[in-house]
Amino acid sequence: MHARVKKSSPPFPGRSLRLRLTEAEQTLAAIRAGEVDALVVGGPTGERLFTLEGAEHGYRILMEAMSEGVATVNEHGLITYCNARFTSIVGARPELTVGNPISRFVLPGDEERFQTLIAAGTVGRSEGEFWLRAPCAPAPALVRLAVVSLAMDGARTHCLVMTDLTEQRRQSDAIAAERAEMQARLLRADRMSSLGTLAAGVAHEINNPLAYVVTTIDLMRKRLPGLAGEAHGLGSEPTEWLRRQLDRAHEGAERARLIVRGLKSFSRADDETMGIVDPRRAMDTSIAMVSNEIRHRARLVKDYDALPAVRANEARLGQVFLNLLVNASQAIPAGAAAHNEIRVSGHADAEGRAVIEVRDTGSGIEADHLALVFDPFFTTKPVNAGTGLGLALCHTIIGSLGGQITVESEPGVGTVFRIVLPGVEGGVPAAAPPTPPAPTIEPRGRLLVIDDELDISEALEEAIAVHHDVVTATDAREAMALLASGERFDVILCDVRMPEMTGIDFHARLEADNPAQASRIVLMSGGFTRRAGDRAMAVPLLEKPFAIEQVLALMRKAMQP
Amino acid sequence: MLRLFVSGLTPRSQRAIDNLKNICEHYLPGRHRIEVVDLYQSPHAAHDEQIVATPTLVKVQPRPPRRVIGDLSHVDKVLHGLDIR
Repeated sequence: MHARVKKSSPPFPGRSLRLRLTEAEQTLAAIRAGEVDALVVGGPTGERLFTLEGAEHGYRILMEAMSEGVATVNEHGLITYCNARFTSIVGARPELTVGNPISRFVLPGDEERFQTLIAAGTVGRSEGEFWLRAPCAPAPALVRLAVVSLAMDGARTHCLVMTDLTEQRRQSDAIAAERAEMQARLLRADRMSSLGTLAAGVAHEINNPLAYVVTTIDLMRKRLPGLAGEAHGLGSEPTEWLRRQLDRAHEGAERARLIVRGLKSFSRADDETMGIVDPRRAMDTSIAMVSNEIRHRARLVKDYDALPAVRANEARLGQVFLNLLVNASQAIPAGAAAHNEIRVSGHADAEGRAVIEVRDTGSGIEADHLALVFDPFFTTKPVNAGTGLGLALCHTIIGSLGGQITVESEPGVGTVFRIVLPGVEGGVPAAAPPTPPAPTIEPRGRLLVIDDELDISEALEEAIAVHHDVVTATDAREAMALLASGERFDVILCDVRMPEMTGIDFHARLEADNPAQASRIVLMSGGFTRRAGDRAMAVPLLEKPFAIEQVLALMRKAMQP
Repeated sequence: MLRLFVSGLTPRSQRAIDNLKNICEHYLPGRHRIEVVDLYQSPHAAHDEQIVATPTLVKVQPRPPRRVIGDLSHVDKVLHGLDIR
């Protein structure tokens, strides 16, 4: 039969009277003999310790309230005292700390260093960082220990002050991580802008040589029928072969032209002129730029006919399509081009809006990433590949055009990005692809070409002379002289960048002297960017490389009554 | 199991701890478990165990509970008070 253990306490439960008396007598004797440190005194709020030694009460409170852990260790390495903070930092149970060796809390492998710390405390103040941990604690704590050895009451006592570094370490780790991320972002942004500068530089350099190529090929194609007739004994087969080669060369040059245009638009940061554009031009340009890359990954399918015109900056629109195409191609693993497809489709919806889709059969986007894809810097690519800005840029651009861009995806199946742009009321037919072929019978006009580069003006002259009278000048002064002497032209094609007088200055001069002829000026530019507010903003601009057809169209327009 | 109640770091409490360890190792080798409770850190314990003064040693197990007050330097008195022989 078990004795019931009484939990509530009348004083000294369940003990004999004799025992109680003995204990009471002993207590009184001890107090009288001064053998006690403190008395427990009942107060209104509970028990209080009444310290018999007097003034130390305040210091004790301070010790217990300190934010540092404090412990005293005797010469045998036993903890003779510690405050509550000490035990809580190391995760120990208070009643199992005092009276136990301090080495219990030192991690294996650190014992020697710890001993050195203690020993150094006898010479002066010594400090060190340690991981300490109570046997029952879930994890060690990083602390700074400061040790001083004192002689107290004839014995050597080591006094330890312990500062918890765990929180500090955590914060500094977080800061380091954040800094690393910021640096990565800066690097990406830097790379983006370098890319833009590079693109601009390349485009500029390529423009002029490309101009000769395009012009020359055009010329050859036009002359070919004539040549075939002139060459005696040349059958039609070699001629046909020549024609095919020239056609291919022409196609290549045209593609190059589109690519350069695309490159320039990629870098053109401050040209935000809006216009009525046919989205197909931007789509064509972007597709031409990446078709070589995409070829290795997937079949590229163009599935669009007429699309409503939209109000946009064509360069920016091209950037959007470029981004989508690049993303699509990167979503498709390499090596299975025949089984994968990127389809660019477009149509007008019932409300006259342009709906354009870029659909791929790539790896797709996880459901929980779908909402994040348009966030700046969100990317699932490894650090060096891609900035995470592409889709964010698309979103901004399309938004600024009053449209929407959305995404749907099924992992393992594919993704489709859908762009909806408001159509333009009345649908002005978009800037036509290079003008329809010239009618066979044309009145001849007069064209003045001002360019310091002989190759260009000669090539132009040869090409145009068939249709119109061409006069060339190598600098603006020569041209001014010509005009001053009474020569008149239907169109004056003038290069912008010339050493002695730029095309812009020439225009300004001529406007003063001869406004009628000044209005005939068309500037030829090879990469020069106009900003709103520049002088001569109103002067028509023909961008290199251009096709002969464009010049002929200018002539036709200028010659209209 | 023995529980020693002290009030912070004093020479007396240090002596008590030292003495207690010695006694246990000598007379109760392998048969003891010591806990040290600082009443500055755990004031409620004074009430639970009816502590009147410090240092006080309480034998919690085996029953019946016994107590000794002082720095425990009189070994005989301690052994007698704890009912160990």
